Amino acid sequence: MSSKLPKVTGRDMRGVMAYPPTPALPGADRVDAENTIDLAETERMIRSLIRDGVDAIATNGTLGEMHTLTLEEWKAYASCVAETARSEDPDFPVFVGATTLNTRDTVARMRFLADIGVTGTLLGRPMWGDMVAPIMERFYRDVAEAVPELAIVVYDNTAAFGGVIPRSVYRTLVDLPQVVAVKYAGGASVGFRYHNDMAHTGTGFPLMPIETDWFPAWEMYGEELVGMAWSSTTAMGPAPVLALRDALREGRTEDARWLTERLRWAHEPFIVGQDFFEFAKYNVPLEKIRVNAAGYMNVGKSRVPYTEDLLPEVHRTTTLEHVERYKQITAEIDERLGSASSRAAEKV
Amino acid sequence: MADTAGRVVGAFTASHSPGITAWPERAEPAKRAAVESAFADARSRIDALEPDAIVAVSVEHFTNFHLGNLPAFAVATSDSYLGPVTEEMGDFLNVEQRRYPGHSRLGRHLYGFALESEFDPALVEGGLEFDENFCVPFKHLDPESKYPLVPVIVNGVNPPWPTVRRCYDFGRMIRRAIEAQTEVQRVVVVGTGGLSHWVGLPESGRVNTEFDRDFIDRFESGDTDRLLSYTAEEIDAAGNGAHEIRTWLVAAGSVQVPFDVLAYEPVPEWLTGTAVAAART
Repeated sequence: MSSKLPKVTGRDMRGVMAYPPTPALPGADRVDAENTIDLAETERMIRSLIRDGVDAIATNGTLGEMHTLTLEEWKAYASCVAETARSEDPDFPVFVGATTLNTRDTVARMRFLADIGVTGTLLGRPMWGDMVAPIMERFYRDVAEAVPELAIVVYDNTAAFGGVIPRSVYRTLVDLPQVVAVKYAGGASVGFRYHNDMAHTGTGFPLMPIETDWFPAWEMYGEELVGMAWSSTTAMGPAPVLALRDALREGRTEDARWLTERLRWAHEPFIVGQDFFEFAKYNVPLEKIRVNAAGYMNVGKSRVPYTEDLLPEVHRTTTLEHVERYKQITAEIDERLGSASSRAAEKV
Repeated sequence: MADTAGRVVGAFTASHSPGITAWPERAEPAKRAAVESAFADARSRIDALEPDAIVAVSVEHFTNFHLGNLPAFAVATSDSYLGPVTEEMGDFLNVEQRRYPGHSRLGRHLYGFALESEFDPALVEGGLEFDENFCVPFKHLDPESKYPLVPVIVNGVNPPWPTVRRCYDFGRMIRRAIEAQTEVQRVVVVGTGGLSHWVGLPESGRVNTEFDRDFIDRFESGDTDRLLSYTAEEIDAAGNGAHEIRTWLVAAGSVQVPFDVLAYEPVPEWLTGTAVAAART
């Protein structure tokens, strides 16, 4: 193996990793659409998230439409994300998706990412053939060894990849210095799995919970083990999630409890917490609807074949209820705790 | 081979939180002593019953099943079961990894009998692996793994769950199944899970003693109507982990007699209302 290693390690991963959608130009939902990336909005989005205080950004998972972009679009988007982040902060951690249907395509994409200087990749696994544990171990080992300078955030998603990462695979992942975090599969099963999975990973790298599960995980395991959470909700404006991060870091337990309760309340109408597999059918359009309605960024329509027109109306309605609740708690949090920027100013 | 019918000669229930074996010292000494003494009592009683097999009823913490395929009930029919599933989990639980013996013929009989009795459990012919569900209680109840197991899994971890009455009736079916065969004469049923606890939620570490004591009162009373009157919402008040009491109801159905609770201790350090009980058989 080459002596090259990523710029970051698992122990560096602290704070909130934002998961924004991929901005789309008008007409991006058409079958004959080309060059659909809204690069101007991409640049604005990346700058806003960094300036507003998120700690890392990951693109091109499911809601980030890894599976709907052409190769040219993916390259253009990755390059824009990388350049924008670097111009804001040369050391800002960025992870760009490189999930494909096979090892060699993923390696090629990872080499592209290494060449444009991103920190790492957000990496799911090939899903066409049943990926039992030994095959999954080989996949992650092979890609890590092929592009050793690129960090890997392992992307787990029970719907996309057909199940959770088996515990034996975690044993392999902790041996790979490229693996710096796992975007832990969310949902009601998390608590029942978490401690047993963490028995394998320990302080090697965080199993990142979603922001609404972060407080209980932090309470139980502490910052050393769960110092980082993932959050697609940050694309609706990151302030509430960053307020939770700050409360956890500063040991303000009751604030963290209250913020978690408010975040959970805001998410109640959203189908993802009620029926993850139903959510998974409409993941991209639902995420784009809530992000656009929140107004923090304009990410346009979802691309074919996962377009909004096939979305059951009830899901649109409940998603918009969720957005209204999120706006409400954003105001409540600002009133009670002050904005993230004002809290930062107080510390200065 | 004896030609008399098999019998359920005893039934026991117990909590199974990882802290019981992994960090017992964090509990108040008196609480730890009470729980461990109750486990020892139950172990002695099981040994005295000289079982030929144990039907072990527990939940499954997504070690084998996940949301894409989550049976309400499952019956396993292997000759042996690996537990804890990895050495790392063994270190975490403080349970030495081993192969637990299985009673495959009794498992197959139970599965077939269930189908004939209008239950439709999942069949797990091989590969079921244990987490704390069985490894924690059996470290106390059968530390040498002397008794072959027939593992039965009940969904007590993710909604929608089987109703409490369905769980009790599943236990009644287990009893009939045991009595419908002659090969395995003496069978003990062990149900494990609960009582109140919250897993992965902000309430983790709370114990709902009111719920727990009321449940124990119902469990000891032998009043089936009271025991089976719980709604899912009422159980939810004691945490997402409290739904594991369904395993106790399966055990209760298998004997249909009141139980004596040998110990109950609210142990926030183990994140669980912790209890051990034995049927008055």
